[in-house]
Amino acid sequence: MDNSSLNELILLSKRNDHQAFRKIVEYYQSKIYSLAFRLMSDDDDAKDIAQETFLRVWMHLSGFDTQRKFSTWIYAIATNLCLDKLKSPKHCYRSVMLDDSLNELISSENVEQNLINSELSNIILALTNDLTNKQKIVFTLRDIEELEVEEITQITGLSANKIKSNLFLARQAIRNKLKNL
Amino acid sequence: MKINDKKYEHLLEKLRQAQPALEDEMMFTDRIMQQIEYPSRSSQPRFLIWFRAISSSAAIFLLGLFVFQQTQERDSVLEQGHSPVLVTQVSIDSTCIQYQSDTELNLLKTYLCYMKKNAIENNQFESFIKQSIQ
Repeated sequence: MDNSSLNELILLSKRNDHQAFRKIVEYYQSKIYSLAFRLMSDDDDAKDIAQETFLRVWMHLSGFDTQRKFSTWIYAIATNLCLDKLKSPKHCYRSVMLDDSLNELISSENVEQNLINSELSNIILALTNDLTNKQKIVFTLRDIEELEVEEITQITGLSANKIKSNLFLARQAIRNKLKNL
Repeated sequence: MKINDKKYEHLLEKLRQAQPALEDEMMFTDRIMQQIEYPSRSSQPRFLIWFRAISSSAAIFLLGLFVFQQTQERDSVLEQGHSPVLVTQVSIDSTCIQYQSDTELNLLKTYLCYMKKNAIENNQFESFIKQSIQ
């Protein structure tokens, strides 16, 4: 979707056009779900967060400045919701051992067909369960979602230096895990 | 170290490729749109929920205050002796007191006196009601 058609959909949605907003949801839902899934390592949590993200987008769309990048804004909402959930005392971490599923992922040729969400969730959890919430978010946004540092700054509100230091520590922790495989 | 770096890069590449997929995208979109079109109670503005709670508490408090005031008012009227029934009862007590002694006959006389005076009192009460209605 190009910027002009996205802006048009945003303007229509601001005027309470449900069909226009539906198109925005259809376009972004898999991206937001994917980000939430990678951060939460849980299918249900990811669905809840994706749903809540779109509800918040709808509620605050009138205040959105179309000069800003929409994807950064929606990513920021989703990331903050994930962070809140990760910080919440109700959120419990599943303990997962690095096992054959990680080796399977590295050696597999046809990832999309072979991996189901639960396996992927186990792998992400095994890799990132020792990371702090900030490290996990920075690693996911930079190394998996491949966003620029500037965009991550806007999403997380962290300075570029903090992003780099968190990323360094996250990479080091994951490399250490891989070394033991 | 280089082998480890290669392994790391390879892992990242695989993780990027492995996009977690929604089971039914259409249904998921429908669910989101349904929540937008028919917002649930939980998605109502917070001030509305607070307003409702505060107004309910205020209503209960005012109702309690009303009941308390009514009770106090009735008690003060009774204490001041404005009730015609109470005034008559006092007079009955004073007239019947002459029969009060230990003998059974006197007890019977006291009882009959009370009965008689109560009948008078009821007549007075009835006339009071009639007057009030007129």
